[in-house]
Amino acid sequence: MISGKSVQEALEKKKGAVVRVEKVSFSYDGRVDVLKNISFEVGRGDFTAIMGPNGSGKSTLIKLLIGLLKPTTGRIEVMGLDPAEDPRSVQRVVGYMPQRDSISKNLPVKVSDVVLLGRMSRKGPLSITTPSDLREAKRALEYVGVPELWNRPFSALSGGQQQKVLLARALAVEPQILVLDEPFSAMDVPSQESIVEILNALKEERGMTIITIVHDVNPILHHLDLLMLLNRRVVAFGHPLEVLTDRYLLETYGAPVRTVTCESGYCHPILGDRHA
Amino acid sequence: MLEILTTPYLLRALIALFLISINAALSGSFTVFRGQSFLVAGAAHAALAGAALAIVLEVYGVLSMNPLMGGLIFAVLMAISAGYASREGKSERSETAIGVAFAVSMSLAILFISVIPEYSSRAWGLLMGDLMLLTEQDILLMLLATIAVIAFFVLFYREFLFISFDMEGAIAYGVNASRYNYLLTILIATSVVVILKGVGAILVYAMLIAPAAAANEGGRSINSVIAITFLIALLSGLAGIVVSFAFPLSPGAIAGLIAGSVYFIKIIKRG
Ligand SMILES: Nc1ncnc2c1ncn2[C@@H]1O[C@H](COP(=O)(O)OP(=O)(O)OP(=O)(O)O)[C@@H](O)[C@H]1O
Ligand SMILES: [Mg+2]
Repeated sequence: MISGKSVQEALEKKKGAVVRVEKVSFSYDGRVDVLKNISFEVGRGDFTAIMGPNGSGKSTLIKLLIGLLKPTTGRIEVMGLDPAEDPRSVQRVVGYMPQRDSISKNLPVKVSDVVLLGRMSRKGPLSITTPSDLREAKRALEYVGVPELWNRPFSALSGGQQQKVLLARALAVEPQILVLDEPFSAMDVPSQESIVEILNALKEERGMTIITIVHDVNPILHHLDLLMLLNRRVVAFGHPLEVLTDRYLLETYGAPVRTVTCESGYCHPILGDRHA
Repeated sequence: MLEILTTPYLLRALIALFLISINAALSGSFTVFRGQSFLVAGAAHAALAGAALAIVLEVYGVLSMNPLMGGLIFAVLMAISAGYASREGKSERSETAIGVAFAVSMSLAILFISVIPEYSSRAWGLLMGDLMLLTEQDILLMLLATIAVIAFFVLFYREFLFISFDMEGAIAYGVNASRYNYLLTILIATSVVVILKGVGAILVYAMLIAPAAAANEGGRSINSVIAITFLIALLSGLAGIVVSFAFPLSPGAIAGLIAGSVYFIKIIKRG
């Protein structure tokens, strides 16, 4: 199941690069570079994860990809489009799930509204919700396994439930690329596993390209095509079998990371133990 | 006693209260959703400066306009500068900008009023409000402003909701967040001026924030918060008017006390 990809396959992937980042640097204040000289490519249908310590620029990087921020220098291409020049067109093919802490908890918006907001906003101001919009929104919520939440107030849900709803919002726009910022951070293990299965199915069945930020890579490690270790710069990028080494992890996290090698040969970082 | 019910002043007060409650329901709810109550204070004081300037211009014969109009212009300018300061979602920066604009507005208001000491009571009237002394022109202005507020909320409800809930997500899903951020801020400032005319700058908070804050406590949906805010504002206002007939008390102050109490009772009951 994890057999290394053939050269042929790798070359084909390269041709179909959906995301191409070339020598991108970014600074919020014009002084400190939050991201330095970032280059990488993600192919169509690749399942990619980005890992790194807090403040390493992970969220910043994916905001650059979808045109929420513009690179200070360098160039980004998403499906041949430049998100800095034409963010709307890039965003049209992307389903984005922001980090949960960027969302207000101060208003009693319903789950159905949350799931529909993304899809309806894509259709533009003054557009009318049609039965097919409703159907697609409900289907997205079913897909992530929580159809019963449809009528509940979003703010009354648990963190993990909220994340499933936000994932449903991203799926309801029928995207070609999914961009997720820490989708698992508040989920219990069974929920994590079910979402991992969902993401994997999206990749296998619909050929969806998925880029996700994770703190704990272990739940998705075996499904990944690509993994990036990021700490303001790309420490390592490639197949997780090559990337997850003690040396790279040390370089990324600035401290030794305990790892366990599983029977499939994957090196699993145990990040939680660093504090123990 | 009964003929008082048919006096034009009371009728105008009731119409004004109805309009105020609509503004409280729409702009008030979204102010509370966005945690922007400071903007309301800023806009109210800017409006005071604008109204004072309008009176000065009128006294000196430069041009004649309803002080409410001057207030509206200043409040909207304040809203636009606050919107500009918070355009990247940096609310701290907007708080500071509003704070400074607040200080400038009050200084200007006092400056303008000191130019025309003999008319100062007109300007200070806006500080205390005059629900029972509204003219037909006042009502017309309040009505037009309220219709505009309703129209924009109906048209762009979804966009306002999205940027209030998740600014970054809204942008990523194609909402022109900055445009709707400005628009919503301007609508809130417009509502501030409508309410200010009725209850005065000091009590704008009481009518614009307190009812919505009370309704938002344990609110089940956006629509129910808007509806309950409307009812709290309307009923507190009616109670204020009724009490002001029996005792020589300010109807706006009574209304504000009731709306504020509803909020605290809800907070205490929630524990
Ligand atoms: N809007 C902003 N303005 C200024 N600096 C910012 C802004 N957002 C993030 N930063 C800074 O940029 C750096 C990278 O932030 P970013 O949010 O990309 O990190 P992250 O890797 O996603 O961290 P986390 O794991 O905590 O989510 C941090 O030092 C942060 O303080
Ligand atoms: Mg982050």
